[in-house]
Amino acid sequence: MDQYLAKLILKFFHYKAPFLLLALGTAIITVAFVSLTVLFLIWLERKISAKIQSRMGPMLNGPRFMAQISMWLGGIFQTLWDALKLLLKEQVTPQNADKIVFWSAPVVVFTACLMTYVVIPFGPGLVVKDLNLGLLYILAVSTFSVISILMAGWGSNNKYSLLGGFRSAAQIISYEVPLIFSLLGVMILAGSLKLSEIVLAQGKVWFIIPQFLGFLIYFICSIAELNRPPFDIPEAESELVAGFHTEYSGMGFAMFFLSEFANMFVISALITTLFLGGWLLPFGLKLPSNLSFLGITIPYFNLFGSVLIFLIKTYLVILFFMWVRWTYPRPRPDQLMTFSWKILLPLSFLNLIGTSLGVIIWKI
Amino acid sequence: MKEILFYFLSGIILFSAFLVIRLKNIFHAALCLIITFIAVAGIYLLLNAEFLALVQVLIYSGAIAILIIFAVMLTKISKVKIAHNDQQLTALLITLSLTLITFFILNHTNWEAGVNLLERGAIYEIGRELMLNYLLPFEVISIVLLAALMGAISLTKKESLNEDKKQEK
Repeated sequence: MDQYLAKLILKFFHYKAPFLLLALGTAIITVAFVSLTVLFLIWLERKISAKIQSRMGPMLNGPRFMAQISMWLGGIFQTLWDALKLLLKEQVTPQNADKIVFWSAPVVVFTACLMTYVVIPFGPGLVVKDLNLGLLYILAVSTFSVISILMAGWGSNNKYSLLGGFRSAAQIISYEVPLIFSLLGVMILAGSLKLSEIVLAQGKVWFIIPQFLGFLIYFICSIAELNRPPFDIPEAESELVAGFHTEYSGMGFAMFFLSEFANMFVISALITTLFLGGWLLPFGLKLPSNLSFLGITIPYFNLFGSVLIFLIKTYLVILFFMWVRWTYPRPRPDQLMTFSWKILLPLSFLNLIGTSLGVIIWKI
Repeated sequence: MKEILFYFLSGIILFSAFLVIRLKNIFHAALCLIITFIAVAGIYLLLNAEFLALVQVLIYSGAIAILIIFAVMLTKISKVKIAHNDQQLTALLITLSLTLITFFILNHTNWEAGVNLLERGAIYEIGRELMLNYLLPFEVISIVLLAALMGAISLTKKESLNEDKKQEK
């Protein structure tokens, strides 16, 4: 991303930007993108849940004439006011809470979530830092969110929080195993862990076709990793109040809430990158680098088009996540564990062996 | 720049490792252990060993530290908050002798100077070495791990079977 930023600054300000400025600029762009996306995603989740349950959802906070056109245009400022309300709320710390642990948990979870955005390729060259081991990096960084959940569960000094933390750790540890194994198939087919190379390896056929089993396993496991319903036993409202974030108020709660949705975007972007061909068009079609339409030339059409394709695919995956969330009921914790260890793990082994055999047979 | 980073990370490692052994609250000690692991991963990154750094974060802070925290959370809170150690002298002697041995080995080994850049990346080279040159040790390690796994399962199975029998009586 920084090379485009450097070009822009050079063009408009005639100034060759130093590395630190570029890094700062990229960080600001990323954080702004994450915050805006999350605000939109929360609104979208409320609208989709409303549609599925035959309601209207938030309608009043926004231009009235838009709300009268369709339910999908109403209440567009809802999450903005919600966020402002959370900002202004008092931060309550429980009396016997472990204060340092209690207040550092939301910071850790949000940092971990932001760190995963570093390697997501939004288009050719549009990535903060295209690491050679990008996929491994995402897996490594996402473990911090478990630590933060345990910190929140412990620090709150509340039995519901503690139970939520327990359940979350058990769930994420057991779902991490099939999750990593399901990704091995993609690594074998692409022959690389660099996310941009994985995208380019899908020029002929998207990996969802040869890796459909892997895709299914990854999708199911990532719902569990995100603690979203139907696998939301760490914060099951009917049993645990709100699980590990029961005691948080104001910005502490907002951080957990934001990072939950930001993580959902990252996981969807990752599914797009690994299985749905990233920014590529299907059937090996290519975007023209400049588009001329009615005498107007759009420069860098290739770049904008790629980002658009990537975002469309990502939002389709997100819609699928939301659809699943509002459709299925929550299983019992022991059923959840059994499902991971006795069904998903053997299936992911099968996928790995099958992929390796296929690669050996077809490539030699 | 690299040297400043190295001393900064080493400082974090030493300080957090000291906290791990001196803190009274075991949960805080476990969190400091995670900081130590991450700082060690930072040192690996400084040495251009990216794969090792990421695996360090994934396995040590992602799996082992979480299991430790899990075990801590399962114990009674009143016991956790006042940890005490009756064997400080023994521990000091053992760690001192281990440090001396490591220092001796480090000083007397002929380290090959110069790091060759890996052409096809660390993962490719590690995989090739494991599957070609070090296949036997690799398989032996996996058998040891398998034995440990089965041992753990049989131990817990026996206990739960006994409990079931007691309940039946």
